[in-house]
Amino acid sequence: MAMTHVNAMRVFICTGCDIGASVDVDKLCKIPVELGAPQAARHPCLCGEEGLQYLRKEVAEGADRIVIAACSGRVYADRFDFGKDVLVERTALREAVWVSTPNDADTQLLAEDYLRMGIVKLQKSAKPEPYIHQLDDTILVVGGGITGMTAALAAAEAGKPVRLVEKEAALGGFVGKLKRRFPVDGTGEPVETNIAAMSEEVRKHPAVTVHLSSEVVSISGQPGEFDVRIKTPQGEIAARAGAIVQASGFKPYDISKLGHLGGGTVADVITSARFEEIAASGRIRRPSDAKEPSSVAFIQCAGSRDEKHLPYCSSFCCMTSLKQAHYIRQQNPDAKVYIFYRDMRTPGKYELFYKQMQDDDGVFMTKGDVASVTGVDGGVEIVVNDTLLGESIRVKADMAVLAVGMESAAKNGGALHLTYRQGPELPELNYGFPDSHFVCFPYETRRTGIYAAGAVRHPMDAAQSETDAAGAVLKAIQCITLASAGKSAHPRAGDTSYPEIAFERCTQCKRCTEECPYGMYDEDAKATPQPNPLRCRRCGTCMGACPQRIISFKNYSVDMFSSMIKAIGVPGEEEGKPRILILACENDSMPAFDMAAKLRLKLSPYIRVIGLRCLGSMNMVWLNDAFAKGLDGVLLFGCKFGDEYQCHNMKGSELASERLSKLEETLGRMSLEPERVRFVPIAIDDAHALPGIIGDFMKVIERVGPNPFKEFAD
Amino acid sequence: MNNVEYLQPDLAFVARLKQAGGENVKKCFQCATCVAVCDVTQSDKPFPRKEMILAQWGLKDKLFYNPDVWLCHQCGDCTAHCPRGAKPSEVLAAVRDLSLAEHAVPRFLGKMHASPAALAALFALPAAILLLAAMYANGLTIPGGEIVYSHFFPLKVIDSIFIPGALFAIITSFLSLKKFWGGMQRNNREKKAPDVAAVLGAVKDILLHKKFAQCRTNKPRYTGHLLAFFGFLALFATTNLVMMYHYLLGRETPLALGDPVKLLGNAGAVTAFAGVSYIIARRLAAPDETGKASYQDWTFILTLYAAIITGILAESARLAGIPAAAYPIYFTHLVLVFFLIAYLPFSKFAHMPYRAAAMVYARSNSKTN
Repeated sequence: MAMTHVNAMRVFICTGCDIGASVDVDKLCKIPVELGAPQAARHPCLCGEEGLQYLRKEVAEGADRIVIAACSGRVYADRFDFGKDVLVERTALREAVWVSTPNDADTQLLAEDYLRMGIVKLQKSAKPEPYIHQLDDTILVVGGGITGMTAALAAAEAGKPVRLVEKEAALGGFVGKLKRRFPVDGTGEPVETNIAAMSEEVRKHPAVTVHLSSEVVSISGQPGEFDVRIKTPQGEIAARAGAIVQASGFKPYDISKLGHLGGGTVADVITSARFEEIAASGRIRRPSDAKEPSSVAFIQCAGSRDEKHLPYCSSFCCMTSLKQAHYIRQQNPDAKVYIFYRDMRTPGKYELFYKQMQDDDGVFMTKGDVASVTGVDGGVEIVVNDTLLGESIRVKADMAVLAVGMESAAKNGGALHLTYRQGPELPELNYGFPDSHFVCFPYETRRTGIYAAGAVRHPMDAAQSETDAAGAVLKAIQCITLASAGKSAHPRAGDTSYPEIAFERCTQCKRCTEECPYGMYDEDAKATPQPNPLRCRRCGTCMGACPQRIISFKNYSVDMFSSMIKAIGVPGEEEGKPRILILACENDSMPAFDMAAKLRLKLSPYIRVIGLRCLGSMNMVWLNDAFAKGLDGVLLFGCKFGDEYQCHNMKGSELASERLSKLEETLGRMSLEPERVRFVPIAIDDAHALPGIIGDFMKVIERVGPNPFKEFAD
Repeated sequence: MNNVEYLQPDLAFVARLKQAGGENVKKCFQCATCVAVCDVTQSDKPFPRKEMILAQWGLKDKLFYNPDVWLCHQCGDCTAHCPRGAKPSEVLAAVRDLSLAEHAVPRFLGKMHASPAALAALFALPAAILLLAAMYANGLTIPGGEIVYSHFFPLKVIDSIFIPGALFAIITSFLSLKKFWGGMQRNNREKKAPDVAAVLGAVKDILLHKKFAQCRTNKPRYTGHLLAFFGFLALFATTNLVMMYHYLLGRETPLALGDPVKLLGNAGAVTAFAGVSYIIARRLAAPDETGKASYQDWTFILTLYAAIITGILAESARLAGIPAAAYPIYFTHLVLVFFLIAYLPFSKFAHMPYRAAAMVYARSNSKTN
């Protein structure tokens, strides 16, 4: 694929922003000739209107591969965009000279190497040919609670056909079973749920098809072409969908696991969900003898924020108990309501409702540790330690309500039944909630085109779920729109490249099918990967994983980076000038370099930095290439991984570091020291640490000495 | 144990407390900002945060038999800093008002003092007694000649009314305080008897107004209370000295203006007048800083003020030689004084013995003092 358009390649060097004053530009201009490209042109200010006009003229005259050796690709991306038919490579000379000593021989070599790498990269690029299919734009909504119905209506109002699958016989879900909802603005009384009206609207909407008492049997395919099988009372049906919103809600925590609070053993100890059902059905009566309670104790955080049960806060329990306290006080103005809490959490305007309920004479609250709830003659006894009353207290109430937390309905699966090679449901993140990029991109899951919304995704209340549903629908529509144009969804939104596999050399090793963070590959019976390009997010992890190096993108390939590495000039051992390759994630580590440049921090002139889509796309052969070329060490800069991962592709940096564990074998074969390769987690705000990290590594390289392969490098 | 004791919140008490001036009690969310700014707080007593939750739960015994409630001088710092507008100082004032009726022996007098409807009856009693006495003494005619109040009310008559009145106050104070003290001992499991050092310490604190001096938000009250306190003390001393003049030295009123006792009395009257005037002016001008005054507050302050003013007017009218004004004013003055003295353990005046008792109790049982 390479070298076919060399004649149309042009290289432009900007001399603005200190570049011209720091390096010998005339010398640089001759570099392309070495690589079979025309001599570079220089311009004092490429990003200015005059410079851009100059570039546009060159494009009009036939240049369709342009190396712009100026500033970082992270600035002025819009200015240097000449349409999809022109490939542009941005070589960051400006940032390179900013971190280096001006007019130094090493700075000149650095600039020359970057220019070479840029040219080679473009030479090894081809124009992506978007994968364009005729796609279905139906939104499949799984779950007909408040989240699902809000999603269905939002999608329908946005002009998309909607198919809604609800396992129960009626729409409404959890909120549909409530007596009232707490007031969203925190003022006034608990309000009607309006679920009946909403259900009616959903059922009557011409764009929405509702399947009640139905369940998804299986989902296969990819965004725009999901094949869905649904079991309905009338039999199993097949349907197509473009994107999916999973709104299957939550399950209240199992009360029987809370034996110390009387859960499952004392008849008059119930969950807040059960209490709500009782309240919704008429007068509130306790289960044991149908007596209307004159005192009710609420136990907050029952099994929540507790490592033995649910370690998190479910965020709706405090408001729920306050609302239920309101029911009791309405029913019986002499009733006593106790609320035993760890902390009352009523953020935003909910605080107003908390204040309102506090002001009720019959509501008695205290912080404390509820030690036990036991059944006693005529009611339940609650012992609370460390109360604000300054002592342990013992209270008797007619019944107790355990404000239990939320468990994702996705926990233990059962909603989507994906036929994906990586499993039938959305991968879980923490505590059984489906994975999403919690740091920056809340709706994203690791299954392209499938968006989790509402309490299935994260503990949240009804009002938050409504907002969440709207957000997830927007992402679903965006995904279909992008997929229809052959473009990637987040995080490389708009990328039209996708992996192509040279199947004839595939060994069915399953590395790609196992490692893809998005489950893009299915497998056939022989374990041959079956790509679903519209699920792909173009991170390149499969390319990095493949030991046969048979996975490539049109504009991103193993060969491309091998060639770039080989283009680095390596001085002989006698010069005492080492060369360090840095492979850096372009989402977070490359910006740290730009930041360092902006801050004019000084970095070693011996480093050569190459940006990767994700460290997960790092193929081990590049390390081989680097050492064979005579480079002395390799630093891998990627995102932090683990529970608090920062990786845009969730698993990329983690996979890269796992690959390193097999590195010793490679290095051993080459008789090289393992210290020559190091993985360092770097984020954009680590710019200040770069000189230290790189300096330390230089010392290690100094200690282990030059790469012995220098002698043999070409 | 078969008879488990359960904590019993009292809704009715919460409602009473709210009505008595603690209407914001439920707003407290236990942040303890009040504890941080309060001078009464001790390391082992999160005052008044804990009292606020006791009040929210209506646990009245824990409030009524709590010395800390009476250690509070209502300086208003807690209210000024409360982020929730719960006004702890007003809640505590309401607790004190309610506890006067609670501890009162006999109970009905306490209740009468809390009720505006009973005010006329409370004044009617001394008015009727004094009227009857005046009728008995001189047929209720205004005596002619030089104005001499003992012609209207012979000292024997006065003493035969006021000495029993004062004895009544002393005995009922003792009984009420005994109830209060016993309750504190029960509640706090502290059985120590008051010791001499504690009493001396408390008296010193009272005389020096030490706690008042620490107030910030309502600092001017220090001056007002100090003047009223010492003015009243001087007047009280004057009354006793006059009695000694009569019974021991045979000297009769009116005393010459240059007489030391007369000088003390006049100085006391002027001081008390200045002090109470200042207190009233502050209450009217800066209710946010003084805290909202309750019915009992106003009844006491105004009765005291009226007693001081009628005393001054009675002397002025006598010196000016206007019998028609002098005798009625003197009569009114005596009614007011009787009200103050005889009802002392039931009116707001009772803050004096209760606070003193609480201070002695706290000092007797404190680890630090």
